[in-house]
Amino acid sequence: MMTASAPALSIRDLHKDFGAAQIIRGISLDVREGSFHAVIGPNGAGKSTFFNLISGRFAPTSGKILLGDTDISGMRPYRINRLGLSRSFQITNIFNEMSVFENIRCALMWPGRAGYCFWRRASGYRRIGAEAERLIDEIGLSARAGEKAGNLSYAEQRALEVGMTIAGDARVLLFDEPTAGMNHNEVEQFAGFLRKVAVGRTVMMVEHDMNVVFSLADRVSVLVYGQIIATGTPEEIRQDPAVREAYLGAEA
Amino acid sequence: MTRSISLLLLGLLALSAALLLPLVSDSRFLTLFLTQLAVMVTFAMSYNVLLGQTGLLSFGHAVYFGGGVFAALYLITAIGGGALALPLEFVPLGGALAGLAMAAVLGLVSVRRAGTTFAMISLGMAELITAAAMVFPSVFGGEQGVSTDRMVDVTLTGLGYGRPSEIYLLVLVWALVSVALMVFLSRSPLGRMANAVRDNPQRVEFLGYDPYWIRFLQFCIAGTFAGLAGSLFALTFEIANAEVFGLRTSANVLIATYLGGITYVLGPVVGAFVVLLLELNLARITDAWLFYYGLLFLAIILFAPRGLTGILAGLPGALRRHGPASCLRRALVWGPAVLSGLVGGVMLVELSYHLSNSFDPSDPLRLFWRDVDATNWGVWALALGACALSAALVLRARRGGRRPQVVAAPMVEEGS
Repeated sequence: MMTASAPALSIRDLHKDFGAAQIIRGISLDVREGSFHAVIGPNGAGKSTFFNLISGRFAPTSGKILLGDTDISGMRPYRINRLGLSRSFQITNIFNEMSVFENIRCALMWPGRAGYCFWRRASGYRRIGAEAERLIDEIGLSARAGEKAGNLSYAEQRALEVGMTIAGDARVLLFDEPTAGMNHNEVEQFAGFLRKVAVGRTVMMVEHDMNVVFSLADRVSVLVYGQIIATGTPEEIRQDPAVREAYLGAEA
Repeated sequence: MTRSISLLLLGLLALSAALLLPLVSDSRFLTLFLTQLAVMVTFAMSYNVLLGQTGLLSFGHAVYFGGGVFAALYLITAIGGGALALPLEFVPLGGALAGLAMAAVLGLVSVRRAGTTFAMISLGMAELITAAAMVFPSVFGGEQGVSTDRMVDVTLTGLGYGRPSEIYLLVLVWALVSVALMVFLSRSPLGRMANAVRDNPQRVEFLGYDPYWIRFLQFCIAGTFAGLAGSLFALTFEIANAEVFGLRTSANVLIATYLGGITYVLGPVVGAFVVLLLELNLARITDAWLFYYGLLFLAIILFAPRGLTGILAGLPGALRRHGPASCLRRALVWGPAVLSGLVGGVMLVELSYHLSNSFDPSDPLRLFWRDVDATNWGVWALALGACALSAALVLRARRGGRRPQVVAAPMVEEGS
């Protein structure tokens, strides 16, 4: 048993059906505080649905999701986010008509306690503004801060997407295929960036690029047909015969 | 920095003009025009809180305007009758409150979803409220409406507000306060998050915000200022019937806002100005004014989705990019084409209207400062000729080649 620390995220017998189709078929998983946990699996295994259940986009059919001690299963996304779980999207999901700065600032509004305030100017929140500038610098978009997000290149939009996810003080981060669609150089750069971001936080990541997975993750779970068939260190997963058969197959 | 200063100067200039014009010229028409403009600007700005800022397309914004109108009418009567010791200057607060109350109630069901659902609900609400208002003639006055008299004894400044120039001042002050407040609100955290909801409501949910609340609060703000605009309308005209709730009013504010440009905070100001100008002036010149009005709206949607403000704001940039010589050349190429097209088109429309609408088609028709006979084929030939000339000029200008550049370039590459 893991005695090191309590799980940051704990999933208990999670099920999700869409009509007659059972997409998630009983997942139980503990994600340890401070770990970098990758979820891999073939296309259609239910990885995205799994993330959508955790982040509140869908409500589970049955089962429990605990964030720390709080049961978040079936909660609306904004409530889960306020409890300290933030996610990125596989398909870039940003505010196209707004500037890079505005995008990041919007992601900092709630953590910065601006709330639904309409009696103060947004620029009056100096801490939020300063933090936004720092973060834009960190994701390497300082030169583009005033540009409309819709006009950014694909890689820049990916960086912005992740920047919005890590803005604020979420303890648990979910990255849904953060390097999707990037070329080799970009992937390498981005992996370094993700490693930096993960320090002091709990990260869960769905990723197709095995190099990224094995270089970043300290735990890997393999999801096949809505069930987790193995969880372990990258080395254990590489050796696991069931995994090799079900998934890595020809690649390994 | 220089841009904001020049904007400020422009604003001050417009403001002083707005203040001085009615004093300089004693024209009632001008005073009334500016008063209506102030009302319309407030209304259109409030509409853009929904459309431009939050991405909510409403077909029923007149409901909240109308609420303000009737609240103000009854308030003024109550003050005049001595039942209420509120100075007349504060009547718009009552209108704002009425708009807010209605928006807070109807908003709860309206803003559950954006997009088509919201648009359809707003349409339904408008029909519902209009129909309901017609059923209660004791409150809304039926066909002849409710009227009041704004010359009451209780005022703050001691002005009687009987004269148009006096009520104009009151309306102007409230309109300016409203516009300033709405600009301020658009820059608050709520205003910024409303922009985010407009662009991508789903993502907002994953940033800790409930899009429903953001839409609801914006809806309340829009309703408040629509109600305030309605009360300014009531102060100006002292009469209204249940028609103010109707689709005509809602469509008008939609068109004004869109014409001005929904992506600019002050776009609705430009739109309100143009729409009012058309409504009041064009209607005096021609029966076909609604036709032109619709045509202008279509042209803006098709060719300038950022509205008239977008065209104005884009001019300096275009000048800088292409250089004044190139811009002048383009204007010289396209100017005559557009102009002859306009002249020919207007002639055709006017001639057709005259033929079908006048008792005696051979009556002289006043067209471009001349009397013409619409039954004479010569004038028709002239109109068609102008249209043909325009078409020829357009063809030549396109072949001359600036516009299809984007399309042409890759095709050349393929061929070579």
